[in-house]
Amino acid sequence: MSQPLPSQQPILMTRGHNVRTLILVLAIMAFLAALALLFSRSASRLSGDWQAQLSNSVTVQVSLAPMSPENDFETQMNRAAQTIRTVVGDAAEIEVVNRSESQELIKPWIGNLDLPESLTLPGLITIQTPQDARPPNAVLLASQLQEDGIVASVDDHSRWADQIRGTARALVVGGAALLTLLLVAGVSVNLFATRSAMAAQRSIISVLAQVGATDSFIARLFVGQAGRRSAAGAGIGILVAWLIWAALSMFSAVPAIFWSNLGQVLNDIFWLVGLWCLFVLVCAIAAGVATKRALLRERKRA
Amino acid sequence: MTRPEPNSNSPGLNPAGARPADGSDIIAFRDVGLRYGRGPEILSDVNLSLPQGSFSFLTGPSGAGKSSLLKLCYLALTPSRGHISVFGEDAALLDNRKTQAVRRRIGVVLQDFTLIDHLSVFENVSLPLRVAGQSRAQYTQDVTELLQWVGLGHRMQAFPPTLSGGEKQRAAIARAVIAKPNLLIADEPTGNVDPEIGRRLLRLFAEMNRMGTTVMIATHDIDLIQELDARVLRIEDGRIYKGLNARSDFGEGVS
Repeated sequence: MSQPLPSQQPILMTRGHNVRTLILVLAIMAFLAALALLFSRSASRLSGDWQAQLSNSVTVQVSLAPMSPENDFETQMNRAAQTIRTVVGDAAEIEVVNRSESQELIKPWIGNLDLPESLTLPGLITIQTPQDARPPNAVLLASQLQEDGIVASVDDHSRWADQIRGTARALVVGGAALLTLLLVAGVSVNLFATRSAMAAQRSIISVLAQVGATDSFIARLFVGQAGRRSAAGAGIGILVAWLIWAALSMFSAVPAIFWSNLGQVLNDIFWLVGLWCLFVLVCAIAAGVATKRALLRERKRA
Repeated sequence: MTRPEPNSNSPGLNPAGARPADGSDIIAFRDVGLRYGRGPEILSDVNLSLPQGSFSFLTGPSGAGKSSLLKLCYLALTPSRGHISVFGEDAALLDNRKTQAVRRRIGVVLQDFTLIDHLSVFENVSLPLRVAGQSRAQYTQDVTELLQWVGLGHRMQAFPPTLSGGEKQRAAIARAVIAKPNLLIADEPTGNVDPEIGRRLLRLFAEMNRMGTTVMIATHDIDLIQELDARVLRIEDGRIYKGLNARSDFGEGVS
């Protein structure tokens, strides 16, 4: 041989503006799917953080008895705090919210009004246990306070935690549904594209069949083509989504939604790579199914 | 790969001629009929056998059903009735994998060349070997030698749209014979080439036949038929007339 031959050429046609358009469509779908995934992950993470904080905290609202010099605000609150301490132990952090702080807390409901000193506000005590400790037992705490003659209500925030959990679950399910829809759209686009490619390359398929190529061989060619196309489209879309999310994490006014540490970044990269693999896989399977069915139909026609 | 001598002046056929080498038929048709859709039968009651190692011409007027008969031979069509056996196997019972295995033993040259435009001549010719699972390293030498032998050594990296009709025809023939098929089917193989190239290609077919390949050529070209002392099958009105001889029945003046 006088000169080396160029590398093996792909049997199917690989060029054309239709391919570029198709890659763009797949990229847009993968971009939206990646954003849906990132928002779902973020909602799930945020809800987890909030629930962890709530499950380790309890708020006790003490109904104060009429004030007297011997039985003033501090005395009544300290007595309640001592009772609480006997139940929750030394590891928990107990904080008595003073009157001015209580006023601050009710400002959103009553506005910036100066409340008269004679107006009795309930006393608030917050209890925070460490993350790795058992959360305070609200029932036990309520009964102990009652036993000591303190009129109080104990709120372990379970109602809020349930609402947060429900909202987060709805967001995750919504994100998953959106993701599924986009994957279905990706599959549909690939089915259509594969059928079109087969119609456009009918003469090539005919030659391949003539020289003894099995349906599986021909299907592999189209699956490979769809796989490469999906890999490129999904890769571009997911990468752009990742870059936008990274930029928002650095410059957003609501940083809690976005990444705040390297662990979260790596975790989400893992999920995005998974999404890319899933996208490529379902698109390739769709192409394989479309090819096999078309070849079977063609053979029946012959 | 052993190539026949290109300048051979005597395109002798397989010494077995039209006789079966071992009594077996490569292809056998029994009461075969073919119709497209609900149209009339274009082939009726075809009973035909191609003995192993035989060389046959298929001739007849345009539209007589020559191409359809060839398509039945290489399993591109299914008969409307009757039975076809290929290499001893009932064609109706073959699944896709077996059908394609049978097709890999058949080299086909069609009138319209059926080359793939975006593949080079080298890639087009190597297609049967690539489909059969051979690596590029395994087939490069064979393909290169064959292309040189058919006079396309300098056009290996050219693409079909840049080839002349004769070059395309030679590339199509090279693709048909590269996998050393047991049966070679050609539909008007010399229709687009000059007489000299036509004779050269016929010598290639004859040489392949001498080495054991069963050959069936559909052609209108009486001169081509007269070149060889081979069996001639004439098809007319969808029926086969057998037993003609190229030289005795197609002498000068026959059209």
